[in-house]
Amino acid sequence: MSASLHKFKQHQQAFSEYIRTTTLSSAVSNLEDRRLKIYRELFFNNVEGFVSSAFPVLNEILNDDQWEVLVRDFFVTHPCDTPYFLKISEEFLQYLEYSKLDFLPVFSYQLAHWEWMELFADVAETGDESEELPNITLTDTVTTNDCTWNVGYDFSVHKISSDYIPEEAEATFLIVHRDSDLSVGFIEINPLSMLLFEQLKNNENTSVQDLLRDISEQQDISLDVIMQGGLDIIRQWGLIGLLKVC
Amino acid sequence: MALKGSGLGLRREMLDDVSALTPKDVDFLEVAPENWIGVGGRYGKAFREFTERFPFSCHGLSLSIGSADPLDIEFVKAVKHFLDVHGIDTYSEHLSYCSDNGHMYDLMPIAFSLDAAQYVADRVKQVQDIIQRPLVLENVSTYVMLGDGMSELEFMKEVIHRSGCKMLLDVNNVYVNATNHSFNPHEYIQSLPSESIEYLHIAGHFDEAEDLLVDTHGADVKPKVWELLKYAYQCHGVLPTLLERDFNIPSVSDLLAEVNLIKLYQQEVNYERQLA
Repeated sequence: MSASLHKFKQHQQAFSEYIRTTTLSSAVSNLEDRRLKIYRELFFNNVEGFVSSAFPVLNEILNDDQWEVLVRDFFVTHPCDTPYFLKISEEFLQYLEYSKLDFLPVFSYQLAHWEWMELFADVAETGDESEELPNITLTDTVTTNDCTWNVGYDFSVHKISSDYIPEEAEATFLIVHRDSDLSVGFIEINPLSMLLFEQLKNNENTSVQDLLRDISEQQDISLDVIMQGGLDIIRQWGLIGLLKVC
Repeated sequence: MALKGSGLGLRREMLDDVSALTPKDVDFLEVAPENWIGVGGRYGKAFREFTERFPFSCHGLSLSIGSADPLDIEFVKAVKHFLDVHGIDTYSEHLSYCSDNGHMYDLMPIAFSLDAAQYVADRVKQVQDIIQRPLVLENVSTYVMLGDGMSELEFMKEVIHRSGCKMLLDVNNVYVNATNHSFNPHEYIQSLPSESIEYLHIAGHFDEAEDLLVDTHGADVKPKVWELLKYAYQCHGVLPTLLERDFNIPSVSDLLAEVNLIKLYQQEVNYERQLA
């Protein structure tokens, strides 16, 4: 590499560094501030726009100063690998996992994950959308549709807003689904239903009754209770399009 | 399919409003592949419906051809796959860089020098080998000049010469940079090699100061930029031209009024050339 080639890269790197940190170095100090200002504002506002549109609730529960510090910290400290704009939200999630900003509420990562999950369900390039599957019986063999995703959190992230900040942890299980009209919805479920959904997701050839029997044994719950309650839930899920025949 | 006529940049937030457009309204549409690769659901469906009805070009944002970071080969392959799947021939990008130890999602000015031109040209060839199409590079708006004093025009011509790439001439960016860096926009346009220009872009900008314009894509095209478009046609022939509007997006009828102005200038210059 010639000295001049190295120089052009150094110059560009110093410029990028300035845009991120807004700290002047000798490489950019000869440039007019009003021109540099255009770059620092353009870039920061652009990244801020991506993050606030992906995480509106996290934005809402932080004050303006905190939000600016958070986005700046992301922009300065996190190297984004993705060339895809919709995946900037995933980069931000990765950043939140290790962010050391002390004003972030304890549930921040989980809240952001939930906000990302809703976006992901809207745009994921996946197989079948959910279709209604009525009249599931105990002898049917069913599994979950491709456009359904189950997630668990330590906080009731789906309820958080500026009017509701959880004081304590509360185990929360949610299923997100994209329907045949391509709209996204979610339902909240209990831990036992979460277990049932997990079993259905991995199911290849076990009938509903065998699957429920397995859960009854694993969880030490009466078979009658599980059979009736489980079948009711599976039927409801079939009606809202979460399941398909194996 | 080669592009022709007038085009409109398609954005996700426009989808509903422009769904009734037909090829009579606009000859082709353009998207940033980074916003559509790997996208399913309602957006993926809408995009497929558009690609079935309109010719498309792709105008990328993340290639970062001038970056010190290594080329993202997997990404370039994904672009190639996307172009092939949707039957899109034209892939344009920016003569710029947008990453440095990670993506920064907007365009920064290359520090112009002969070495930088060779570096960029080598990367262009690498991209062209993968995408199996010419890479079309756009002149970008800049607000500072890095580099060793080499002009933007010299740099652009060097990259074209050394790589065999094509050019997307953004007429608004010529106007913006001519103001920001005090050069003559007509001379710039006139000095470009006609045979390398694939198509044109036109957009609105914001007047930050008398000597400092910002390329916002958020306003109507200014009269002086329309004049410059006509001049570009007079110099290089009537080339396909696309309107970009990314912010403050107006009604479809307002967008089409500007698309129709492109058509009008194209007809006017065609007529002039026939007479001459």
